[in-house]
Amino acid sequence: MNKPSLSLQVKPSEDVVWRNLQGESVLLDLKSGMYFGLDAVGTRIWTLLQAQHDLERVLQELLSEYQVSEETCARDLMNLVSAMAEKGLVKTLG
Amino acid sequence: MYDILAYGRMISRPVRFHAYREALRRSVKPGCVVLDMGTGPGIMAMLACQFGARKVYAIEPDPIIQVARQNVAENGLAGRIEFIEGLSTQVSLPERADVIVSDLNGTLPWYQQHFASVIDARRRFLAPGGVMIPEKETVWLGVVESAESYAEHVQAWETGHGFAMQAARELAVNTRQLVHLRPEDLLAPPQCSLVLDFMRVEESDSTAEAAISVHRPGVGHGLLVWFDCALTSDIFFSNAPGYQRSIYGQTFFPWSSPVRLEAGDVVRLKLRCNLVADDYVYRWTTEVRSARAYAEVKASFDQSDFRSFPISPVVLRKGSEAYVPQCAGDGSIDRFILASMDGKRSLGEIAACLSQQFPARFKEPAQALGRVARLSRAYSE
Repeated sequence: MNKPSLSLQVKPSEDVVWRNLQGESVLLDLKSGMYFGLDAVGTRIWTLLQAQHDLERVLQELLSEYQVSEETCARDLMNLVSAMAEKGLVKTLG
Repeated sequence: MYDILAYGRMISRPVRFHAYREALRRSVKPGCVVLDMGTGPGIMAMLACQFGARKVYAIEPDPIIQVARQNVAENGLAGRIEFIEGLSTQVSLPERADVIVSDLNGTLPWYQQHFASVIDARRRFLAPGGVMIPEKETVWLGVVESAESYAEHVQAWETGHGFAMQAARELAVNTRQLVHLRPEDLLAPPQCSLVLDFMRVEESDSTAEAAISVHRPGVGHGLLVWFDCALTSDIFFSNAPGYQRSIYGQTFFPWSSPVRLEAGDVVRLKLRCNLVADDYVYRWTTEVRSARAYAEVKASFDQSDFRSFPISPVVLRKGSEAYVPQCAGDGSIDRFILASMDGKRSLGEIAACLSQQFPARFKEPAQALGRVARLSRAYSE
């Protein structure tokens, strides 16, 4: 995947199933059999990505929900998306 | 694995057994070599001998193989049937087989290492021109109305005796169930969605898809899946609704909530089956579009039996890639025992050392010996 930027469209991979566990979540990559954990904020991002693939809009949604600067939120979002892309958990569209 | 009653049902139910018997009768030629994968109590192996096999290799990892040995000896066939205890993927044969027979299905074709075993056996054990029994399996998908089946999943959690039990309901609607439904429970003709050709299949994982146009109005409760098993080109049995009842039945994959369906509504179904570790994880997605306005999505579900079992985040975290484990609790005991299994000491000697090493854990010698014996059965030669 290209280095993620806010202009990208990103969606969860169809190879991944997930479940919510008391606010956190665990992802299972069906191809590799590997499990991955997400904390509460990561879970919120994952949920948003399921309905909304536009990273800029995901960022705006997060800014409306959390008390955080736009710079920090954008950096954390990009870091998480990059890490998930590296593991094949999300795919870029287009 | 199965108990003796389950093995008995497999043999006594006529649908499956008669089909296998006839397939073997036609496929086994005098003097040929047969491989029976998962021989169980040995019935297929003995049938192959009866039909003229020169040699039968009967592989079975379960202790039922001891019963098979006795059955074979009792029938005077011990000289022609060679038993191999273990998984077929982990053994070798001195020669290739003209016929490979197996029944490693569960309620669905995807069961534990079924396809991994079939693929491996075909590559390593099948002689040129040889045949696989079964030859292929055809998977069918249908949309079903079955309030009774659905109630099995949700009723307890929706009434809840006055308490909200959504967490339990979430697990229940992601749980598949063995059912025996009737053709009239289907809301539309089913679709043949996948053919698993045992001579060609190369992957353990599969995806079955269907787009089904609803024929009669009703309430859709979920996806119904079954398969036809073609043992040869003209011998088959099925677990379809309405077919003579076999040991299998159909598998009901419930929807997250019931959906009122009109004739002409289109239901798109996708069933993914992925082998993860030693068993399959199923994911079933559903999209229902209205007959009146196709753009209108009446329902959309994304479910998986990955969400069907209770588990703690702590336990799951211990299986993640980044987790750094440290051996603790009974792990230290097992590590001690395994390290002691050096080919020199008896179980009794190891148990005595174990008691000395973990006196608080093993107050009685029998406790230590039981623990050592369990690991010995699993891991010693």
